[in-house]
Amino acid sequence: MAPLLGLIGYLVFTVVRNATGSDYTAAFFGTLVACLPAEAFARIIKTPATVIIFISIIPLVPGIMLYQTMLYFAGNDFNSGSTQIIRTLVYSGCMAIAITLSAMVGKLIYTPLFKKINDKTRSKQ
Amino acid sequence: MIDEYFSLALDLSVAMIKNGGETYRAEECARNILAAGGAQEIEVLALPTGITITAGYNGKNITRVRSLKMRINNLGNIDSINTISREVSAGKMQPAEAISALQKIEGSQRSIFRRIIFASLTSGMFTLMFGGSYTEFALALVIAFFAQLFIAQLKRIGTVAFLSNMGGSILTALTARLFLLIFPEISISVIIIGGIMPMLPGLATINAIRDTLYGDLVSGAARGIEALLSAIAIAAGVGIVLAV
Repeated sequence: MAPLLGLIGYLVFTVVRNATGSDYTAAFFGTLVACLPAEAFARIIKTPATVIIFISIIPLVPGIMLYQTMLYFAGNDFNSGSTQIIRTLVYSGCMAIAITLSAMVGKLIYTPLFKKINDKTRSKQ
Repeated sequence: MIDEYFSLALDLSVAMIKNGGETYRAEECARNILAAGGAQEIEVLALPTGITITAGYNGKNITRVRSLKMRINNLGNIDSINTISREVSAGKMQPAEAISALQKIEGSQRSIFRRIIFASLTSGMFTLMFGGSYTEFALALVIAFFAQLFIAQLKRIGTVAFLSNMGGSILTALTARLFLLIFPEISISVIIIGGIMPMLPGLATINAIRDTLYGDLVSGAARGIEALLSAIAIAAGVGIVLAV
């Protein structure tokens, strides 16, 4: 399930990036689309949500950006390096906001919903 | 009887933090278990470096503290610990059973080789994902295998996590550069990026965000710094080699 979400997240990331030309929007929506089902799924199988989210968003982690930052700094090119590190930070900020948003949705919407479903199945038994 | 519940609550919440669970989950875990044991006025304060639990029972107040220095990431353990905690709070499991079950989880080590092999497969696949060729895939596989082996050895002799990750990234960049001498047509960027992907502190970052969101600001900040430091260590490791 988690690898599948990873695939979906990366797919959305690519589609949104091609549509809007912005890495940040793409990172936001990719992470959001990967995290929202992850929160729901974690409540179905009763496991901590982090376990699934962590795996699902691995493809979106800005490894290339971090590496390029390092490459610029190693080459004494501090102008490009600082630009790149700020881009990396903004990118991770977008991902963080998406994770936060999905955790909020999980806390405020999913938890009462699943409590209701659980009570219903329990009363049937 | 309540002593057993206390020990169990401490053990479980410490294990939860140690394996990389969220802070609020560790607190909730201890609170539920103590409530199942019949304690009142339960207060739990969990930090990444230690846990304080205090509760009243039969008119007496009991406080216990445990500090925590080593932190590892193991998602499978979090899941099993969570299950134990749920069963004890639901009254399905006695504390004595739970303690032995917990010891079994802590004692069971998945084979290091399996982890290394999968980590190197991850690196190889990332190399492909970032547009590498099949030669680069094979090289990334080999390089990541040795880098992960090196990290596992460094961790076993008890190095700080930052240093072992830095050692791993130095080795990755160094071997990638050496392979460049043998295969001049490869691009070492994709290999190095693939190689450092399994080392990046993803779990610590996510936990930092989630902890901050749930109001555990101290834990969130501490974990954020942990993540930042290890990312810097990895980047510095690569940078040292590439700057030469």
